[in-house]
Amino acid sequence: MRFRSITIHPEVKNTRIARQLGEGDICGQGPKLSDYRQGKRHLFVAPKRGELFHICASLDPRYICCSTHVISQISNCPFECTYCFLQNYLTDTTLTVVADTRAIIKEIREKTSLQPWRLFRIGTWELGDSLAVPPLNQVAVELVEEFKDLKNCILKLRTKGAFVEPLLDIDHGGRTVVSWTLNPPQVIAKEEIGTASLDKRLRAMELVSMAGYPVGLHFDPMILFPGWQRAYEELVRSVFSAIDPENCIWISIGSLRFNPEMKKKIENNYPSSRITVQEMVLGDDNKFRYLRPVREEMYSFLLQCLKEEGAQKCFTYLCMERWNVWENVFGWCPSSIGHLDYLMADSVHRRFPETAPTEPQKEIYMALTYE
Amino acid sequence: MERPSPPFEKTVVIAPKRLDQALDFSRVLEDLSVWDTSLLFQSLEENSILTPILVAKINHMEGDFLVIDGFKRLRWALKKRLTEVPVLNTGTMTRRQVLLLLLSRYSGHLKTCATKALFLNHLSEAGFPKDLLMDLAMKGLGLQPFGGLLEKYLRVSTLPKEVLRFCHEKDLSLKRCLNLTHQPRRLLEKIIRLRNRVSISASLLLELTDNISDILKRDEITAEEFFEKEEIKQIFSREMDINQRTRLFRKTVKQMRYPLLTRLQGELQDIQKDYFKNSPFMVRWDETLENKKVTISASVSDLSQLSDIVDAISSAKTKEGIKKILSRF
Repeated sequence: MRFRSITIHPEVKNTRIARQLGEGDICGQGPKLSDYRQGKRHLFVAPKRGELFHICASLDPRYICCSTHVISQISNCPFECTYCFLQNYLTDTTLTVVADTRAIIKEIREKTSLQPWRLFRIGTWELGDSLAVPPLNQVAVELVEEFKDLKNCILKLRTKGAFVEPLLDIDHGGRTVVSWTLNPPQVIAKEEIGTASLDKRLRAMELVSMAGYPVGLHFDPMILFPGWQRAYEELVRSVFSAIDPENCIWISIGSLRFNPEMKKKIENNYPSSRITVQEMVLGDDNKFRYLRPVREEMYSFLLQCLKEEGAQKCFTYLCMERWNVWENVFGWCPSSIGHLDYLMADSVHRRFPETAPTEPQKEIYMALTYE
Repeated sequence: MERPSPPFEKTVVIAPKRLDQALDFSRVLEDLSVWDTSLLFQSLEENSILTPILVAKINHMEGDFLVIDGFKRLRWALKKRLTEVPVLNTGTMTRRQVLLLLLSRYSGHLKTCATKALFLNHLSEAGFPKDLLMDLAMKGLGLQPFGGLLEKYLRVSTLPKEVLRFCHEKDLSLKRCLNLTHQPRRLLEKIIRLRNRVSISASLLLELTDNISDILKRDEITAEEFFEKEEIKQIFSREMDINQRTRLFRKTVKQMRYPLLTRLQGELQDIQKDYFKNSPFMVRWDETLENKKVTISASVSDLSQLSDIVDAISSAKTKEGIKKILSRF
């Protein structure tokens, strides 16, 4: 993909990313664009302003959340997923990448050092795709290199792309998880416009797995459509033909959700999409979801497929779901958000000791509070 | 700024057909019943035209005179086939001057989103440039002079005429009007035309269009095919009170939009009937089926009722009924 314009802020013109770009106007601000699609084609390489490290904005104490942390390093995404919340979120839509990685790492180091006992899972995908296109994957390379020395942190790169080449020959120290959002080819073709095909994602997954990275899988958002069972069954089978379940660090499952304003945006931006016409109800977090019995059926079905493919050892959790849904799908549920945080840290420590060498202390995690 | 000369020297008579009515917005206001013109036409019938029609030429335009004020007088003259009407020629005016005149004439009548949208669209179609619309017209209508906002108002103006009339009558906000612009036109028109048979409020219109347009997309049918469905036809063929029909129409549309939720709710209601039909307390649950929680409530007017309620709540039958409801979550 070629950007229509590239703007580099003078403060970051000597960063590795800016140099690798090799082109672009040097200017203190990027183009001010408000159109969601237009902004995807214009890149602004920016300096760090304010704090970028925080807990996932979706965390809601009324749901069981995985309490992952994020760095807001990327804003907007070159891909066009019909269900993407960014179409109703960004005011400045220019694809922006914060280039001074060292300043970001400094902030992470300062904040995570306050809880040295905790395993921080830190993603870069909050407002964009971690590896969508160059130079986003170059930003990722810098982070991977820095994270290998952060003892209680895991970098979570998450993508629907396949640009993993720059990651393959670098020393990651086992502290980076490369993960993919996964959906059947039918959904990718219709609802994840411009993203890599499933085959390309699986090939990329195979490559990072061979390069020693733990792989994360996110079957989220699962989409309901005629024949979904067979499609998701085949998807799971394809994934575990590409990678060994032993290399899969965790699996998250979730379903389509969006706030009421998004419904109109989706219908306007993607008139041929049918994702908004299913039966959905509004949850306490002001998001529409499929009816709970339908979601439970989808999750249970996928869980069964995962088991059949030998992925029962992989830590599997639901994203933004209620206690009763956990109980109906898994037969149990974490007692709190802190408990889930602990369970994930414990699973990583036991299965990937290089990634999480310190044994997590359950009591400390359980005492964590979330508002 | 160029100022027109005093007009009183320029009163002339002129053939009505030489007058350009492009700026006539009065018809739109009459259509929306914002203006009652019956008295004016009565006066014209009895007195003919006493006040000359105000005309101008914008920026030395070629051809006929542009009417600035007196559209209804002109309309009456044309209807009466008059060969001459008195006009006040203000001479050459800038677009800004004309716009100011139009604003002073109409802005007092433009209180709703629908009328503002129609007025802005009227000006836009009459060739007033966007920057003038923002600088002068939007400010004059009490709106922020933003291009994005202007686009939104112009979009609202594309709603079908009957829908705009409804938006005006109900004084719908810009947000609600915009929501309507996303709905299929045919569907909107069809629902609005049911107004004398179904009591349609603003929120009900949005709910119905939302639900029915989802059904149309899901089932890949047209609005006409939807209204031909037996369950819908029956609602409109049976004799019933307008409020009863409104309730039934709303309920039927919801059931068609949410068939699974309707079925699951029905199963819970059956449990309620089986276990709590004559109970001295109410049993409710989350109708979205999300939250696993049953609420038991009771009203007491006499303390002696309390023990009966407590006994009923702690009975084995109640526990079994509650257990059955909770098991559905």
